[in-house]
Amino acid sequence: MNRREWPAWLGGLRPDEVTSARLRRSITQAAEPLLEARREDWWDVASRWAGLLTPIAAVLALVFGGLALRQGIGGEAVVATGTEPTADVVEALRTETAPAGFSEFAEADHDVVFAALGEAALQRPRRRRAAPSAGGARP
Amino acid sequence: MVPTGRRDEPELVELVQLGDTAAFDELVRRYLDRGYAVALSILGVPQDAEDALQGAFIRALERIDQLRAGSPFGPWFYSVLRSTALNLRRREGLRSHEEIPIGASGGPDPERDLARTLARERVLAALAELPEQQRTAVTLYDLEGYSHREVAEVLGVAVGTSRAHVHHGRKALRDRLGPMIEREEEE
Repeated sequence: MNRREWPAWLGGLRPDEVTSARLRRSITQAAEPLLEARREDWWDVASRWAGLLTPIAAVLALVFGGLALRQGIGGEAVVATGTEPTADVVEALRTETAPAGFSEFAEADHDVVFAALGEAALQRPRRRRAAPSAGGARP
Repeated sequence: MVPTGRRDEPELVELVQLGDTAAFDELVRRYLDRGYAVALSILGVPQDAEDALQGAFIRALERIDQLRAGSPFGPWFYSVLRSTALNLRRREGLRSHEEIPIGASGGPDPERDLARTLARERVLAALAELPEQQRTAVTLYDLEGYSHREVAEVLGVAVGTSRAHVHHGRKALRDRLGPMIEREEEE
């Protein structure tokens, strides 16, 4: 615990009230520009960060805002539906039934699109092989 | 909101780091008189003590970011004050006490001023015979009630050395000032 009262022998070294007040005033005056600079530094740092983060925050707000808006209007999750040319293909694949000859390769619970894609993948080499024999397609 | 005068020192230091004038004023208020006494005990001349004290507060403000969070301000400030005072003494050369009249403050109570002047002259004459480290060690030990660890921190010496400085310094001052120095022995 530090002492707060002055020991007798050191009392003589204590400044009188006039000296004390004068010193305090001159120290405060000399310190003010430094304190002012510190306040500016602090404000500069805050402003710099704000300047840096504001555009990022704006972009994020725009992106998430747009997504939220779309979800709110649609009422359900946004699903990619494909571009104009592929939409027809997807639609055609959806309605297409698997050829009878390949039905044993497809499992019963596969959806039609998946089965059609599988069939298309198998058809490509078959066509290439079928070309020289002129209509010798496998059953 | 806690008034500035009742805030803890680490909190005041944090506020000063942000440029808070009231917090700095509070630190000045707390350390002005004792800092003056320490500077005067090192330099022996009131005008030099004032210059050293003002310089130390400004230097402390410039370097206050070096003070670790939660560390006490006092020992760090006194080490800044001591080095400022020693630099001043080296730069300007040690003036003798007789060059500048002591206690010519023009205060409202001439009788008290005279008593203070006489006491100051006597104490300064006794302190002047001690090596600087002993002077500072005894002053801090008696004035602030600092432990040897804190005195050692200010002086930049080992705790055992601080203990020896306080012991020898107080003994020498007791021989010169007699009953003014309390008989209580250091911890």
